[in-house]
Amino acid sequence: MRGLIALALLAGLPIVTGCASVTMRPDSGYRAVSKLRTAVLPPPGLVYTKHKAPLVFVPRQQGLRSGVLGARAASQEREFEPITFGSKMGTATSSQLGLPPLPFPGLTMGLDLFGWGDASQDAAAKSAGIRQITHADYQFEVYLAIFRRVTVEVYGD
Amino acid sequence: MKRQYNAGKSCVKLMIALGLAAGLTGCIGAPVVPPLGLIYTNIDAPLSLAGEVGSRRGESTVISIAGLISTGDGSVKAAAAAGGITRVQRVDYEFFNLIGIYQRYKTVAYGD
Repeated sequence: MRGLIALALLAGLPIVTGCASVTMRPDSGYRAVSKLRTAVLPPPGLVYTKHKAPLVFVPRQQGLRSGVLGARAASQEREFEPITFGSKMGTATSSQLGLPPLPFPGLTMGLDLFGWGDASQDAAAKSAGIRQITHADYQFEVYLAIFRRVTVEVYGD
Repeated sequence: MKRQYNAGKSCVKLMIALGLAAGLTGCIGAPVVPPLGLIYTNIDAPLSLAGEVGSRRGESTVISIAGLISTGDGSVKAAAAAGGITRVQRVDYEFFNLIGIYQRYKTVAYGD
């Protein structure tokens, strides 16, 4: 029984405390499930997920240079390029097939068996003939906790 | 002795429930995440750390039910389209959580 309690503590506490922790990402539980690494991850569902979120979220800073002087110059400029969407949209898809991560997502990590596809921004841009990418979103899909698909959507001209 | 066993069993059940609840709901991933509540959360936080406010505002929403089903379009493109924005100057997000049963994520775009 003590072993069971210790196991439950080990499984539950890091995930619970991770919601307010700085060192552990707040969504570490689900990141372990989906193996998805993005800047913005809305709460997904294990059984069915089909949602979109921004892949790139910060307007790009103009005139950013390396080095101390460059950093100072960039901080003085404080100019941010707004997000525009251009006239074209390109997509690229990557899929993954694995076992569901139960009972403790943070503990068992799931088991990924197959992963395929090219979801790079480069592939997405080439699919629509985009030369200058101005923004990128992504679509994340989960079906029955075992099939996952990420589609990168890039916008530009 | 029997009471101790029951208490231990309850503790295990509680921890399993907490572990599953936290794991299934998974909170949220973003560059800036204020401390979240497992029972109730209603926060706004930035996605872009600087930029002008702009004159228009648009939202796009993703809804998650019990950590099992999640659907919606929370992209910046959808938020901009909802607000009639062609140049997005700044992006925030809103996150609402009620006991992990109902969670709502919103991308909020500001611009002209």
